[in-house]
Amino acid sequence: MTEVTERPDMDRRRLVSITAATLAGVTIAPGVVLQSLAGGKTPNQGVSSQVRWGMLIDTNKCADGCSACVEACNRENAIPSHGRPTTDPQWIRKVKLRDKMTGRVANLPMMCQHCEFPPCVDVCPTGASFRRADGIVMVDRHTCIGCRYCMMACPYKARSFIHENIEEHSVVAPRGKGCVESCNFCAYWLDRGAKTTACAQACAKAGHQAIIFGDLNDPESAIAKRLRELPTRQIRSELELNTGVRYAGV
Amino acid sequence: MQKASFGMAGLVAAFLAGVLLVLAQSVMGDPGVTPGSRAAKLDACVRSTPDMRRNHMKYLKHERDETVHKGIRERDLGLAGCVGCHAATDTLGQAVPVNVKGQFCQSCHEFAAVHIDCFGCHRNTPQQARPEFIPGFSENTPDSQRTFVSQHTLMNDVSADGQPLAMQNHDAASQGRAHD
Amino acid sequence: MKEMQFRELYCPPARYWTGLTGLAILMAMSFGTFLYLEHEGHWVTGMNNQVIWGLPHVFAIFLIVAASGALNVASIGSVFGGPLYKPLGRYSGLLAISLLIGGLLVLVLDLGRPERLIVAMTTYNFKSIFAWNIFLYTGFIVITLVYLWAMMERQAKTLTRPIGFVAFFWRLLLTTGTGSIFGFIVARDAYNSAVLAPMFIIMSFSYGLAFFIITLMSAYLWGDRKLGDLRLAKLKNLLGVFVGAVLFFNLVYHLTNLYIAQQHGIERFILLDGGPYTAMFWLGQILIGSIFPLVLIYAPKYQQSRYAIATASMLILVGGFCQIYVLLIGGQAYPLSLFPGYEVLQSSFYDGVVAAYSPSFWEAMLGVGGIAVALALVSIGARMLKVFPESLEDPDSLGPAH
Repeated sequence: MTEVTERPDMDRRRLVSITAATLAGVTIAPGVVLQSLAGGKTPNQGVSSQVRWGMLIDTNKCADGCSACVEACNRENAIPSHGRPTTDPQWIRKVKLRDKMTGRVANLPMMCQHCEFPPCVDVCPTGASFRRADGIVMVDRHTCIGCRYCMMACPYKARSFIHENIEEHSVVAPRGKGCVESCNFCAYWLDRGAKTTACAQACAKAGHQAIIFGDLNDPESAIAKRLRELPTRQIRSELELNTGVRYAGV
Repeated sequence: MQKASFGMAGLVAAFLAGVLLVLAQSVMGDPGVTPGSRAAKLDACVRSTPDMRRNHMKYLKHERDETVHKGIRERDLGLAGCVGCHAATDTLGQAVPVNVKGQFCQSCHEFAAVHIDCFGCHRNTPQQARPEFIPGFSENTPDSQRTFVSQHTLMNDVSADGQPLAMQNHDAASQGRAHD
Repeated sequence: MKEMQFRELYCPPARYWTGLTGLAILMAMSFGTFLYLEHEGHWVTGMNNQVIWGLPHVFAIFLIVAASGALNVASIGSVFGGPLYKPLGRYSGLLAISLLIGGLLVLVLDLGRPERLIVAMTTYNFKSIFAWNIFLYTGFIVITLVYLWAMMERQAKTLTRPIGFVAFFWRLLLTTGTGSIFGFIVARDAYNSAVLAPMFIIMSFSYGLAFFIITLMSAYLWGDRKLGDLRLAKLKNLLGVFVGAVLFFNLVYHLTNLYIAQQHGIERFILLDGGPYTAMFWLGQILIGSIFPLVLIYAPKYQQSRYAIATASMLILVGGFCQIYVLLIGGQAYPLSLFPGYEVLQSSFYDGVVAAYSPSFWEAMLGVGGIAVALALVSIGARMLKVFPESLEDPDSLGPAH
């Protein structure tokens, strides 16, 4: 019969504590070594608000029946059509209008207006919908939970929800089921030094030159010069969102 | 009595440490690169292998925030770069997706039982993205004429004439980074 | 007044277990729907890029709004000192939590990326009312649990009043937050109105109390317990006041819109030529949801009838569902007015046209699953906790004045 004492077994306690400490050390030690992250020095600091990207749409030049901009956008960003127009995403769309009183017809492309005070950014619960320093409003799809509140809030119905699995991806536009997306002014290429977007380029190639893209903050840019010549307005200007996209002739 | 138990404790601890080391070796010894991929021909990744093993998720996460929110495209740490190098090609010369069973990502992630979410959105085979719509766009455009640019280049990028840029740019770039 | 005895609710096991099994089947079907939706994507539902929030959200908002209103009875008992309401406080808390969990579940299961719920709970943009709602909803559950504990714990009786106050104001905040989801939206003509927040508050009073009455009556019927006429009459009259108030808010909302030229389009749509939405408004919301219940509640002919009270409660719930459907889906179906003064001849993105929406079976399944969860929680809670008084007979000591 073992002797029963009041004192706890210190030997057993010591064994347990040493084993636990060793195990913990062996597990944690390798991780402590490699703590530092890359990215301490980046050659550049990223986009700045010195640039504000914007677009000017001259609806007088926008051709009836032409959809070069839409096709270029869909091609560039690998946006497929599933034959389901109610759920297929559209980053840019052509709209044909008629003035109810005068009967005058106008054509224009409509896309994300890249507002300065975007309602979609205000309502996003996780902050996935955000405005970049250079004025581009986009969705951080790593944080988007797919609640679609931004789609409710957008005054231009610019946002689309991806309703199905994506089969073919493009490295230019990573996009996937369950997140919300919209026109991002071809940010992938802008960040690599491009000065124009797929839609603007396609419109120029088609001979219409209805879309001018450029830096609104640069007084010498083509868009800034044209904005000084033409009378233009924002769509739904009464909302005072200070959009980056301006329309002339409508 | 106390001395003996101390020795016993030390023995147990040493044994456990040894077991862990052996287990770790079996994972560390395997290079993990799939045969037939571009990475199989190179001797180093953009960072050292143990560093990559432990920290690739941190690099990717940090990188993605920098890229999406600030437009900084440090392309040697970008996911497209990983895919470009680590995707294997099959006998027909077609690229095999990296997240398919047995391929680069999946071989470790299946062992670690960590679900990969990336390829729901990101492309899982290499792609040469051509800026067709930008006439005259070239990697040789001086910085003063760009809004901003990263100095790093990677195989996914092309020059204006559509030729993939050489890998030596990549190695020089990674050496140029003053990092561990 | 003799002390109120609370007891777990017992009804014949056959009824209890059959009911729970039925609810479990609905919950399982709902979960299966969720898995299907997550796998295939939302294209299998009726929701699309035009009608963004559909039937699941109608269910979810309905349950959430009713949840905050269900706590009303407890508040009246603890905060406003209504002695006839005090014994009902515990069940009020249970019902509130159950309804809220049911509603939140539907909301979460409909997310495009539900696996990112952790992201939603850790990354916040505090300018968004959604972000605040996450705190308001979870806080409501916690506070109501504490409230329930205070009401049930013999030694914590004195705490019921302060906690009751907190719960009451939190509830108002919560419903303001829910109404503001729509009230803060400038984009659509049907929303963008400050009246939506108080309107949601008063809607919550109405639907919550209707839920409370109908489930209380069912519980006491099946549990073979007595429910006094006077107490029921008090609840009924309160419900009538709330129904009237909801009608008033609707009147204000629509009258104001009718005065504003810019809003004539949406008003015409809802009130006149919106097809199903107009029918749901006049028949569902006004006639079935407000006029008929008011008659059933106040007409002298029905003063003694329990059937009238039960029917009125059910009609109010149906009408409330219709109201939220009209607001949520009608408000989205009506096109955004991007180009006032123009008509849209052609657009590939359905600009300028009323969006077609037909709810799919999957969406209905998600919503029904939420209700099933709520009812299951109520049933299990009633069976296992002492929330129901043994008898809700009218107390003799209280004179006819009460």
